[in-house]
Amino acid sequence: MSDLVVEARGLKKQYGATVAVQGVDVCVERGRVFGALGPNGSGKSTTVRMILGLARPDEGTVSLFGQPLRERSAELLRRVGAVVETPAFVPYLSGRDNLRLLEKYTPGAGAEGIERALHRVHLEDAAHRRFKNYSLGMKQRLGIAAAILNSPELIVLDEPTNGLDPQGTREVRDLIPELAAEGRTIVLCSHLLHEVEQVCDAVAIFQRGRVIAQGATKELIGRGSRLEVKVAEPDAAQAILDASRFGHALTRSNGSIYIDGAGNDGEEVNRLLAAEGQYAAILRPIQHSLEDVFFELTGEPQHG
Amino acid sequence: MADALRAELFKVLRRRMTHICLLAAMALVLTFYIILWLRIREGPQPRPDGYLEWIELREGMSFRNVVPYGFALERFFATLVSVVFAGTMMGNEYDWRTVGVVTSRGVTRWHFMFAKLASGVVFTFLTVMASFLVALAASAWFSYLYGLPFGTFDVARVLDMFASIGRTSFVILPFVVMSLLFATIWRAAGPAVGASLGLYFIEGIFTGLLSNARGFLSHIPDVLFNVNGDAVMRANGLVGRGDGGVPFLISASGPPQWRGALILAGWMVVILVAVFWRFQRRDIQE
Repeated sequence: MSDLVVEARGLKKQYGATVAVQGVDVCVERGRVFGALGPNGSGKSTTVRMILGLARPDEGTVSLFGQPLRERSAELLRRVGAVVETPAFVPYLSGRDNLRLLEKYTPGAGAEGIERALHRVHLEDAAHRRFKNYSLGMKQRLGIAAAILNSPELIVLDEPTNGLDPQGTREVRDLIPELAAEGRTIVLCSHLLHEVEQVCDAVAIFQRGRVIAQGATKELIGRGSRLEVKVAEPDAAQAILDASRFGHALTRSNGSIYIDGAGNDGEEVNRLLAAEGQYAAILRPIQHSLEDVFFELTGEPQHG
Repeated sequence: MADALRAELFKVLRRRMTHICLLAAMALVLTFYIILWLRIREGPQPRPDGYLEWIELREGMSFRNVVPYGFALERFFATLVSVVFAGTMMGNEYDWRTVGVVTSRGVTRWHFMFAKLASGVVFTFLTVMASFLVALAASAWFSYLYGLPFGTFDVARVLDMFASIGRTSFVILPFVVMSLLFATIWRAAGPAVGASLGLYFIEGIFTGLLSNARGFLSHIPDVLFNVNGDAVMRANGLVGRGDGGVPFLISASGPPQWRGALILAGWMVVILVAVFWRFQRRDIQE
């Protein structure tokens, strides 16, 4: 059995003359918290819609749990819980009745499961109120309650902290690792870089309908980080490094040598220098944030 | 399938629009009977056909004619509210984006739409039945007040009433499924209701115009809803001269009942295929 919970290959979606998604490949391994990162209109929500069967790809395929979505959509999607964009519910029903309605469509959780889900998002006290009278934060909480109602294996959350106050945001951020610890796979769509950096262990960065980078969060951040090297003889050290694979990424400043993208390569650099009799006085990775990496990759400031 | 039906029932019963539509149909039928009563109370109009028309009105609102006349009234009012009910029931799912929530949880689109269709059919049937009870009560009361004929009331007549409920509902259903189709096409409630009701009224006007034309044009109404609906409704019975001089009275001439039923059924099949195909094939959200 495949260990990929989501496997999207060559996805393309076009609306009229506008290409929303172009050749997107997304793979999410079991048990991961996967972040889909990108500015508004970058194609991440369209990709999520195709993964959830809400939109049909013009080209490409989607597999969930190792099986093609197109052929077994109903069966596969019952193992998924999702909140797409702002949570949508029947406005004249209460929060609890909305969950009861979903439970009738896809039975399994029962009355206990409904109360458990409401409790988990701290919505028990407002569960009797009509959805149309909920604040945006309460709607988000209900959306998350609906997503986790049937104990799904895969949870897709699209901007789940939108409209939440700082405490609510923190609760959701705490909830995501908790859900992951229960063995669930989580896909989190967000344009909030620090949010993704805090909770996701893998990331795909979207720009203009394409995935421009994908991988483990640490790896991506490391790829964007620099290594500071300080030696007694910087000219000699630079000559050594110039001849290595780091030659194209060197800069000098205040007596230090900086190697771009080598934040994780301190050991290799140290070995190269020591082999030639140059011993580093300082060998310090300068870590970038996901935000730095994002801007470096996209080459544009992020809006929204 | 049973899960989708249960969920739809849960939703529809808690929906205020359901109760409003049902009460509106009953209130409209009652109001029309009261207007008829006020007209009859005024006496015949001073014009050549005035006395005959007055007699026909009295006949129409008598308990003896509650089946042909009551159902002719209900056909109009129940169509209005059933179209509003069906169009908003489906269209609101798009307006509120709840259709995406349900289908992304693994509910088969086919099941979802079937539950909507079943709700629309049951609601139409209930509306016709409930507003018929109002017509029954109103005509009995006015017949008692004015000494109008009650006619016989036996098992055959009760069975005829139930058959008439079925016939009237059947004539309304093409517009109900059309409302579902428009809601699926435009993914919104407002345009669906507007277009369905617009078509309902415009078809009546076009039918009138085309029927007076000559040659090929005059046969076009024969394949539309109005003429064939009249053909089916004619089996409920006729009132008076049968020349359609009194509001909602159905004329005696037109295609046979079987042909009317067949053409309406054909239309319903075509529209339903379009509804399910469109819903199945199209993106839920863009």
